[in-house]
Order: sequence, then C-alpha cells, then structure tokens
Amino acid sequence: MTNLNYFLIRRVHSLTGVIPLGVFLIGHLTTNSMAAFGQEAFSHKVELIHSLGPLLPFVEAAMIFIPLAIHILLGIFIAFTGKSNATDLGYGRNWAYTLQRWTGWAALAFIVYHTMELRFLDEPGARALTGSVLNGKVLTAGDVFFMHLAEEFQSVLYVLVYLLGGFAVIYHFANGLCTFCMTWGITVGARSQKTMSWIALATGLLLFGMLVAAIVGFRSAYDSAEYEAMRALLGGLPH
Amino acid sequence: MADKKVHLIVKRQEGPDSAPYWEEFEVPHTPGMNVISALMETRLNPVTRDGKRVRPVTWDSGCLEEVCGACSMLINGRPRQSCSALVDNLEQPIRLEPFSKFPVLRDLMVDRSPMFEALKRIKAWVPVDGTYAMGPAEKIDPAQQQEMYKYSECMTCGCCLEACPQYNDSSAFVGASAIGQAYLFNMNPTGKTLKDDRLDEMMGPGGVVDCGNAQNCVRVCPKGIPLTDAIAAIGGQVTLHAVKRLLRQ
Repeated sequence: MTNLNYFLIRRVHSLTGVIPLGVFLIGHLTTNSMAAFGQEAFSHKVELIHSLGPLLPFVEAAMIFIPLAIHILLGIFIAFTGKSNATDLGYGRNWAYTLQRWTGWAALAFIVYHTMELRFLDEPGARALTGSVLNGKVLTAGDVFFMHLAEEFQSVLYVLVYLLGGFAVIYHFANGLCTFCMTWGITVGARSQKTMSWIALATGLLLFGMLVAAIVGFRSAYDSAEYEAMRALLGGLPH
Repeated sequence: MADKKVHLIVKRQEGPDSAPYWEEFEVPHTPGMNVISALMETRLNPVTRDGKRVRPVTWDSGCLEEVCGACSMLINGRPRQSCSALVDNLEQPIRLEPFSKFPVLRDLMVDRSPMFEALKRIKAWVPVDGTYAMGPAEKIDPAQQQEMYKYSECMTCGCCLEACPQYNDSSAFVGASAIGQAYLFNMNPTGKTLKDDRLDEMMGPGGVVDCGNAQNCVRVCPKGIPLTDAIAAIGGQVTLHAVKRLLRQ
C-alpha cells in the first residue's frame, strides 16, 4: 500500500465518524426526542423521513450503512494497533483514548442489536401495519413504531440497554469530535484543544439529554389498552 | 541520619533473550542522592536485601544532567531520567524497570536505536553537506527561533514512546519524538527542502496518522516539549500535502 492510500484510509475513518455518521446521530436523536412531545410529534417526523419513498434505502445506504461499515472495519483495525495503559498513566486524555476504544466495541454491539431489532425485524412489520385503522384512526408507520417502543421501554432492562448503548455511541462521537480536530490539524494548541473538549462535552450532554427525553417520552406514553387493541387487531409486530 | 536506608526494587535481566526477574537492595542514604547514585551503591556492595551476593546492576547513563536521555527508565512506573530523579522526592521502595517498548540489553539498559532509525526515516536533518561552500544560511525570525528551540531540546530519551499506547509491537508508529523533529526540520529554511519527503513518510504506516491522541507524550516529556502541538500541526501539513499529491499524481 502506498503511503498516500494509507493516509486516505485513516482519514476516511476519521471523516466518516463526523460526516455523515455524526450528522446522522444528531438527526436521529432529534427525531426520537420528539417522542417527548407525544405520538403526533414523533409520527410527524417519521413521516417526514418516509416521504423520501423509494429513495430512502439509497439514502440509508449512502448516509448510514456504507460509512458505518467502513468506520467499523477500520476502527477494529485501529483498535488492534493500540495497547492501552491508562491504569499505569492515568492522565485525562489517556483515559479518553482508552474509553474511545471501549465505547467503540460497546457501540458496535449496541448498533448491531439496535439496527437488527428495529430496522430489520420490526420495520417491515410496522410498514405492513401502516394504513390499518385502530380506534377509528388510520395508523402511520410512525404510530405503530411509537406504540411498539412505548411498550418496549416498559422493560427496565430495555431502558438500561438504551442508556448504556446510547452513552457509548454519544461518548464515542463527542470524544471523536475532539480527536477529529486534532487529527486534521484544526485545534493545534493545548488551549484550543481544551476549549474543543468543552464544546464536545456540551454536545455530548445535549445528545444524551435527547436520548433520555426520547426514552421518557416513549415510556410515559404507554397505553396498555391501546397497545393490546393494536396487538389483537393486527397481531402485533413480528418478533 | 547515618542509618537511613534506601530501598530499591530492580527488574533484572541477564541478556536480550533471558527472562526478567526482580531483586531488592537496601543502600545507605546520602543527602541529595539521585537514583543513579543509589544504583552506584549497589555496585559498591552488590548484595541483595536478603544477603545474597549478586551480579552488579547494569544501567546506561551519560551526561547526568538530563540532556542526553541515556539513563531513562521506569521509576515507580513513570518513564523519566534516573539522573534527575532525586531519591528524597520518590516514594519508597523505589521500583526500577527498563523501558518496556525497547529491547532490553541487560538489566536497566535498553537499545534505543529504533528512535535513531525513526529519525533517519523522517530525514531529521538540514541538508547542507556538499562539495563546495554553500554560503550563509537564510536568517530565521526570532519568533520562529523561539518556536524551533522548544523542539530542538528533544534528547531522544524515549519517554514519549514508552508512555504512548500506540507505540508497541503491533504498530509501526514512529512516535511523538520523530514527529516533533519532522515539525522542527520542516520549519528550518534549509531543512524544509526535505519537507515533501518527511510528509510522505508521515502519511504512511507508522506516520502521524497512527497517532491515537492519548497525549501521554506531552505529559511525560522531561523537557516539556509541546509534542501534541507538533502532532496536530504535522497532521494539518500532511492533509495539505496529500491534496497536493492527489492532484499532481
């Protein structure tokens, strides 16, 4: 491999983490935090995404799955070139380095689970139910998903998985913003790097707040009678 | 005062291929002594704490004033020079180990030549050798002299590499010291004629792109060199360099 190719591969890993994956993460959490404002607000956002129609799979592939696969594969390679020593040299950034690798693995596990469950197992079901009538209301895919998630988040384990998995993803992104700026030579001095770490912390806290808002929104909106009616009427979701 | 003792725990190894083992020594304390003078006591009387007569401890040292880097070792787990490590400032027992990232030659003495190889790889020099006089060099702005001076203090001691999680057997990373030197020589008016060669190396496996931003290098550097500034600056230089390479190839 030429030096230039190696450079490009390393920088592609760095870039994909922010664009498009980081941008997607912000959008994804923004959409889901709408759950805090109720089913209508959430479904409206989902409909907005689904309005892409037949283009959606291509947008998903280009914006999420392909960059994600590249980021994961290169990330695994990078993880194996490092030997963490934060327990010997417990400096702040050394722990940040170590956590970046741990949260990388945790985020990988969480994203595989999360995507398999909601995108590949539940989504076809939700789409199949779209247009059905429940209590005189025509359901959208967003409505079905909302009710489904409201039920899922009743489980404390499910909430914990999402809090921990979400933390891993958000930490990995926020710390990645700091290292992105160092890697590309944007923040060169120690002071600008410190400032960037505060900005990243604020970004991370905001995103985590959105995650919590989404979970609280889903959890508190659960209406067992409505969900049972949906399950009885439509047989519920496939899994 | 007279019977005050210094307790040393030394990681020892006969040769490059033998297994390491630990030995403990108790040596008389003298005011103001450093780790090297404590080690010299074990040479005067190479008897372990439990009374066994052993081979004297081997270590490397040169200047004894923290400018050559030869006496670097792990002192209570921290990479630093044993000449400037004063016994009175250390917690006892004092644990001495050779650097783990370099081949051990004997006891506390390691082979630091990989660092020299890294300097050769990034052409850390000013190309002035020739068959005729090249005349006076270009003048350097005082502000830039100040910036360069910090990096010229590097003594290739290896502390930054010992502390670096990315510098290990499974990585080709050249480490912070070589990146700092690439930055220094890229600033030199004559040295910058080799800038493209240096940045080519910095793009490849083991170059600046392998940095993981753990920033231990700058924390442990005994000379306080702003190594992470150099890493980010070289990262920026390499980005522009890659664009140039892409568009001109």
